[in-house]
Amino acid sequence: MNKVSGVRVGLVFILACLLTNLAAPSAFAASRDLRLTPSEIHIRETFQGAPMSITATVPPQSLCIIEIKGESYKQELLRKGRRGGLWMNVGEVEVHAAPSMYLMLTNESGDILKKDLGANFGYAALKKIVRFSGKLPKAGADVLFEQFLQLKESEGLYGIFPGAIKVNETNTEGAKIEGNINLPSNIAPGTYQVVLSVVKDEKLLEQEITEFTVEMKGLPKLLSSLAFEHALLYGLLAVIIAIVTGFLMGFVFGGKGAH
Amino acid sequence: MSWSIYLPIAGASVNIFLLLGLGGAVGFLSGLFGVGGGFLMTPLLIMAGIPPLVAAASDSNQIVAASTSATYAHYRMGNVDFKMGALLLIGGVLGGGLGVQLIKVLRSMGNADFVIKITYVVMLGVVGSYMFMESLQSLRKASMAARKVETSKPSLYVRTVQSLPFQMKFPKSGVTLSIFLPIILGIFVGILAAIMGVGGGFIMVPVMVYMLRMPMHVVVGTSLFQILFTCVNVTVLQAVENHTVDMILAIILLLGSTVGAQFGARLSRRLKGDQLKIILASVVLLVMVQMLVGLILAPSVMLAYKGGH
Repeated sequence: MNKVSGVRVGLVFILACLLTNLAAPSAFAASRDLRLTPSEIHIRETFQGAPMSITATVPPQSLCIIEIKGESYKQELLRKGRRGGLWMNVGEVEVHAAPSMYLMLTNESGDILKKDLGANFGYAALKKIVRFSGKLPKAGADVLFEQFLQLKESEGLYGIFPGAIKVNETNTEGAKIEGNINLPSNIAPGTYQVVLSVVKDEKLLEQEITEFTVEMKGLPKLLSSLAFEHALLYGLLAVIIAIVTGFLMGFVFGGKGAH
Repeated sequence: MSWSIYLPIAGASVNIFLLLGLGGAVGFLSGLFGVGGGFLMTPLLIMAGIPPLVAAASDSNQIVAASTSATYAHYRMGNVDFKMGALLLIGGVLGGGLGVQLIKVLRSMGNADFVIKITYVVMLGVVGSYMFMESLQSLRKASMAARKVETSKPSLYVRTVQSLPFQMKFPKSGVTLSIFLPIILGIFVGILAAIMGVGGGFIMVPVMVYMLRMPMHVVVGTSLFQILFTCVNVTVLQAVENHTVDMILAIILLLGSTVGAQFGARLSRRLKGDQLKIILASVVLLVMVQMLVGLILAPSVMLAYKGGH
């Protein structure tokens, strides 16, 4: 009986070890302390974007990649082209599966995309998932993808920042890293994913994911909910405020003696 | 201290003084010339980082305030012909409906944007050039005698207008016209305004001056009266259909524009009609040149969000 029980315990132990290994690809389990400061972003009246600090402990001498990804939704865009020698909108395109925001930070100042592993990160990885439909250019979707990146980068919603992760301290537990990024003021409310990937010797050692939320508070929240949930009331209110202000201004200036 | 404010519908943070300045400048032009200023404000807001759809809708909202303020100022000066304004408004609403249908047909044919841009440049060019040349000639002549000779010999157009049925007196404008003329011209402007996506003030003003022969000061007040109603309609529709009216953006703009409109209306009273026309013609031509340059030079970003002008 004791013998059988001992075998069972042994099997359970082996199974547990296997499961642990599956969850964390390396014995050098690190980055268990992936932290975001702040972990919630509140959009209030004077919101101008928000600085975010991302910290973790990783194995020494490893390549760290932090990706910040927004939710994906369908985006409708107009493509510009030349007609009769003039530049104008020549067709509508829909973009599918593209995140609302994509920022990537690394601790290497070089271009990691040159390496084979680079295909799994950054714009190369996005290119694999983003799809286009509608009036595509004759040059193909590759050109459109480049133009899409150009648009998003111009808005500060997409960006690659090599060398933006600093190694603060290295000890026996590993290297403490910190990445700092300024989230743009046009960041949309929603849930954002932060993915830390640790790479060593061209192998993905570990990946850890955490999330943060962006939420409207105060007057922005009140007006936004009014605009979307009570649209007619919101529209009438906007018109009434405009007419009353217009009259008040006319009265104030008229009272001062307009001829 | 930061002077930026977050605009919840636009989803962007913009400097308050920039918005007040933009509102003030465009409101000043609105009060001066009787135009809504949408053809100026919307592109400026887009340049300030506001999404095109939100820029166009919120601009309509602020024009409601600016045109209320300026219409009130002009009303106190006796410059609003309500009877003429109402007839033009009826035509404008009918024309707007027709224009929207026309745009749908053009979009299905795939050439809507080409037609819109060309219409814009041609209309701005023709209206601006004609007004500029005509006003320049009038300023050069500057003799009342010459004008009297002109009025004593009515042109073919005037004779045709006078022969139309249902003649009505418009005492404020000092003209007698068939009621069909302002309605038909209102339809024409409404179609163009719908195609071009603007309130149509800068087309309506020359139409009232040259086709309806109204005095310039009454034209400005009456045009503003009509724009007020058009923009009330557009604001409510945009809020309900597209959720694109940013009230905070509109309020900041209208604080600037209502003050600017008052100064514009005062200056308009001090300037002569021909002087007003020549300045408006210059602004219209400048916008046309800016638009033409935008059409000729390759854009820096080849994609844009759907919506806006």
